[in-house]
Amino acid sequence: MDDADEPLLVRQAQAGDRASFAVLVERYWERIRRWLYGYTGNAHLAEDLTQETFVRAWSAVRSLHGLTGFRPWLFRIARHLAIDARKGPRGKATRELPVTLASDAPEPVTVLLETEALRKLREACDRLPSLNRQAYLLWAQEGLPYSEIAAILDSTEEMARWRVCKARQALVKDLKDYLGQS
Amino acid sequence: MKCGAVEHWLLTERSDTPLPMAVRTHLAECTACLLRRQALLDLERLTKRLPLPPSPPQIKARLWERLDRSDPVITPAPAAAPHRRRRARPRHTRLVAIATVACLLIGVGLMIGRLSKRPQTPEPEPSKAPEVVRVVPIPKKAVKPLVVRLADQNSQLAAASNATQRLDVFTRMAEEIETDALAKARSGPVDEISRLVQLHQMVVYSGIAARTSELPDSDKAVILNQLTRSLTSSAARIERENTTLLPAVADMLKPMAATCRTLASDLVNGKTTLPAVSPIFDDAALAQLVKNSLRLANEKDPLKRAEVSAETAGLLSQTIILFSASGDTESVDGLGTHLSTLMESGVGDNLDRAASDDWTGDRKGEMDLVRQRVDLARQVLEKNLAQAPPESAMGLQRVLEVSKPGWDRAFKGGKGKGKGPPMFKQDFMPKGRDKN
Repeated sequence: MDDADEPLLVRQAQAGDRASFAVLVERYWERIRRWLYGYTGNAHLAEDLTQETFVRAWSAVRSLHGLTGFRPWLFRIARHLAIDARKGPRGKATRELPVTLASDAPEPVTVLLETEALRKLREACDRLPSLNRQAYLLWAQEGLPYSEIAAILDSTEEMARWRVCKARQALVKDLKDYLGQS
Repeated sequence: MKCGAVEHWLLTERSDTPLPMAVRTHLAECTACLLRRQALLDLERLTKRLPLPPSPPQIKARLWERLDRSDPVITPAPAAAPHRRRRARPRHTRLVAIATVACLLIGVGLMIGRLSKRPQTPEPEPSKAPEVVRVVPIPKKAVKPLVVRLADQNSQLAAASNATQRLDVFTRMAEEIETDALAKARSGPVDEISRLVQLHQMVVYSGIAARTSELPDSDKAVILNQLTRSLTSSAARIERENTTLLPAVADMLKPMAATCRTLASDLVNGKTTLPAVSPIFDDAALAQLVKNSLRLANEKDPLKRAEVSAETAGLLSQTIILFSASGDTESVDGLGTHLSTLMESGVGDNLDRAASDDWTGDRKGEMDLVRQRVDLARQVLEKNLAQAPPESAMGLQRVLEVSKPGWDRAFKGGKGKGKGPPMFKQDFMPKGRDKN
């Protein structure tokens, strides 16, 4: 993904350019939704929060002057909305069965094993302490550096590193029957 | 290299990071670590393939419908600021707020309209605006000035509610100073390094080390372990950098590495006595900001905390004017946001706490003094706005708008009805915030 033009897009969005903001939406929509889904465990809530994230981002984009840039700022908005949502009536997250598991079609053994491993991984992720889960998904799925994870989680870089480290340790332990066999 | 060290390296680095020679050598000999590495590689691969349910396209379409109804407005970013509880406001207050914002926007619009009709070169006459420096646009910088970054940390410190959060802030503060010192060591001006080294020592000893004794026992071991590693890696980074610098410049940085190593070794040895730090007699904004942060962290009395925050607000107002005069709009805007946060958390919230403790009303006078100090800080900005050339005026106007909720909050702080002595309100204390 080419992020080199991002500062320019942000500046243009700050000047009210809807087209530039649309590019940013296209670039981050799925990433924010995926992370929120991993965080909340609820696909519909993740969709709503993703939409709300971009509405908030559009209304506040002119006040973005951060050293850390647009990406951590956007994830911070998403995170704060998710925190608020967890306190609301839809509060407790419930994980739905992934769509891919509903199929009855016969599948090769390797695919079945991988599907099973993915299901176990999702469950193991859900068992992680929330902050460790957030940090791990930002690191592993979104490929964010520790400095940005720290900015998103209101923490230090060292603490972000520690959280990712702890999450990976726990996941390897939980999934020991599914890992290291390839 | 031992298994523990290799495991730590594997756990913190990505799979595509090239293996250092020592790790490679170990993996060639140790099957357990090799399997561990394979497991981590599989985990990383699997995580990237976690399924995401498809999203109906109308969701995104609805986003555009909503965006059509709203335009970007200048507000302090709700999400960029540290997250805090929203206060319910009465409906009429909201209407007044909306009306005020509308008036301000119309005012700014009229101002822009007038400015655009003016002939070129609207240079101010020196006799009319003596205290406003002529604008010299500075090139766009990749990194904000240290004073802006420290102001950010200071405002976070004002909002911090426990020792762990305060320790976090001071650790970042030390890192910011260290980064700045290293940048100056590489490309100058080197004459500022000594002062930064002194400030760093002050933050490490009086800020970080002093907080370690306040940590809760349950997390203490883990946090101190992290802190030790962070200090050691800071020292190593400085020492590594020193090998590429001129010996004279490297000598200036050595005490900074030594400070980190000393505290790291004290923490490992469980030493609690802190070395005496010589106070800095320096009125520069940077030194004042660090000193005020330390005072804020050490102060338990909410009223005193509000007082320190009000003092820092005055300092930030002065700094904003200096940046606005030099044309550094990015720093002006950044400081404006931090100023607003400081007003809300540092002044407003603390005045509320002080008022709630002061059920006899004995400290009302002291609270008024804090509010006067805050008012003075705002007057400084308003006075300069009235006399500033257009280039600076826009920035100052924006600061006043962005920080308006903060000023309002600071003035309202402590003016609520008394809530009675603490022993009567225990049952009504708000529950701790969910950090997740």
